[in-house]
Amino acid sequence: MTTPLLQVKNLKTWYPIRRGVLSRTVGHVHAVDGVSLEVHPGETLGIVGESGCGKTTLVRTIMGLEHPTAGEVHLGGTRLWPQRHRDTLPLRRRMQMVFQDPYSSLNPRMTILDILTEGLLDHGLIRPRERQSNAVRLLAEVGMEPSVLHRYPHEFSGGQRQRISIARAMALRPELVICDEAVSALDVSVRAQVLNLLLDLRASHNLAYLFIAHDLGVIRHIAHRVAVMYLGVVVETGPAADLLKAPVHPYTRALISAIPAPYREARNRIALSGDVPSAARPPVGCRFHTRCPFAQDRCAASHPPLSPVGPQEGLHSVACFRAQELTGKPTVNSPNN
Amino acid sequence: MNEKGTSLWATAWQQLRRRRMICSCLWVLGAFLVLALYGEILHQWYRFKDQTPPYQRVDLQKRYIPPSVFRHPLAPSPDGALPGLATVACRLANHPLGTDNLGRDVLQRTIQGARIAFLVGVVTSLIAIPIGVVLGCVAGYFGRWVDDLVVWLYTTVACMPGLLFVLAIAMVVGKGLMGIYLGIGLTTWVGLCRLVRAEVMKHRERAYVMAARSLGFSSGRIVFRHILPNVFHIIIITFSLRFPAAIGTEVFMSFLGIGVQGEPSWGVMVSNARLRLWQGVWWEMTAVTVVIVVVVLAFNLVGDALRDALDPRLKSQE
Repeated sequence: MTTPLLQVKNLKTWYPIRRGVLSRTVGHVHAVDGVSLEVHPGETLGIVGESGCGKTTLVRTIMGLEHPTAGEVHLGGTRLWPQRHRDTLPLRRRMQMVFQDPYSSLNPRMTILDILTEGLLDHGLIRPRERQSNAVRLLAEVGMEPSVLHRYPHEFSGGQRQRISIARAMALRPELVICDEAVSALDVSVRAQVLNLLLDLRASHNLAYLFIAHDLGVIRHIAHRVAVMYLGVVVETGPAADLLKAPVHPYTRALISAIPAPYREARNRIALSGDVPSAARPPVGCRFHTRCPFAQDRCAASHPPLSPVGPQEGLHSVACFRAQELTGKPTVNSPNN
Repeated sequence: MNEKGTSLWATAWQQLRRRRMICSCLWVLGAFLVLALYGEILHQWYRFKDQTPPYQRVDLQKRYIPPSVFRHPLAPSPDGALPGLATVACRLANHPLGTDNLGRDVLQRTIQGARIAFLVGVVTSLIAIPIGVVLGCVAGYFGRWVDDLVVWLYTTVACMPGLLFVLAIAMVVGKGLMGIYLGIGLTTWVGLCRLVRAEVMKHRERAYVMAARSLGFSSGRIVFRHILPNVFHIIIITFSLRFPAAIGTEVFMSFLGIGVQGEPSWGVMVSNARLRLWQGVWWEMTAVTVVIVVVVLAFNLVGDALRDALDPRLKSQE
């Protein structure tokens, strides 16, 4: 296999909880608690999980917007952290990010021309008089008219702004684009257009995406591989088609059974009871055992490692002690019926 | 879609221009600026020629002349004929606002006062606003110990009673304009610093700042190129509101006698006129007070309108 473009090893991002007059650290929020993943050139890794499971913190840490507590991030074979941020700047150019909220992700006081070309100028990739032509090229890539160059972000709709955000991310010619819920805030029709734009860009530039979404339909459409996160850890990862068709981990099953199925007969939904435990005090053992319908004593005792399952050895892995028993069982089977 | 977009600044300006009241206030402020400039030129000219300027020249023959309108400008000439238009104009133009106890022209002194007021407003802003903005930006963006330090600093400054602090600084530096500049400038940055800090903290978490960080920009560039334009409306509003406050403080300090020395400022004039008021010499006090009220009112109205036009929080509620 090729060397991975992005390699994350056992990454942890904890936020200290401070209390009292002297603001002593009384504990940590384990937002990301030991995540390992790889993204290969041209590949799209989708990350799914419910709100608060650490998806956004994970990608922000990879991007260098948060300080990791432990672990390693390698980009193109070079370790990014804990090297000084400034030393890795040329490398970081290869990785860019598109944000969720199209209304706050563009500086309201800058024209589109400035927004698109500031990065290029700052990195010394173009000269000031080449700004116009470069901005026009970038706009063309995301399917926008060159006439918008001197306008301001507040004059555009959400979908257009997201296109501009994508153009800004594409400006430095990255190999990896991290999309943090990039289409979640958009209308369904616009969402499809932006998704197709992302697919086109992937095809024409051999881009890799790290794609966060809570909409599994979107993930199915765009991702090659999927990683499912729960409470700061990856519980299941595998090829998108396999994982979505035959999920193994009980949490993934619950997630997938929650997709509305309009034309099929009502299925057995796996309705999880209870809330997500606090990330400040995550459960001992398997993170999911407090809500898991299949939980046993050993689940509460120790944390199951990610181990491969299924026929394609090494592609599909699950962090569950009972993975072998659960593999092959139909998705819809919940233990209650 | 037209080629040229409208920036938020342009929108705010259009919004201001639609209000007639604000337009007239802007004209008043323009006149104030022109008068102040005229006063400065006059001041420099007489300093260059090393002469006593006319507004300082004592002429005891001309004491207590009331404003020209009250000197019967339409009275018949000595030969009994009706005065011609030229004669009336001549009479009106001669000490139009009267003279004070030393025979100095009130109008000219008021114009000189405008010059001092303008200088005080601008110079104290040039001292206070950079301090407030830089400290506020740095504290808001970097947080941690930098923030603690700045908060400690401005809390300490804010603890001291304002006017006493101003007076203390003025005493140390010495009487005169420099004392006023430093006194007001070094004490009035706290409010702006707080506002800017809070606003920068809010913007620091916005996605556009995250995007700028992802693009690898330096902190300085992010703070001053990306965040500062978004908090700039606060600076403009603060400027328009602190300008009249600075003028007021100058008047007060000069009134107390530790302010402007040997130059006609509005405070000096008020202090002077107060002594003659009981003799029925009302015109000096009236002239100064009316001018101060008009200028301060214009500044406040424009400041409020600017806040309405520039503050994005109010914009959505229209």
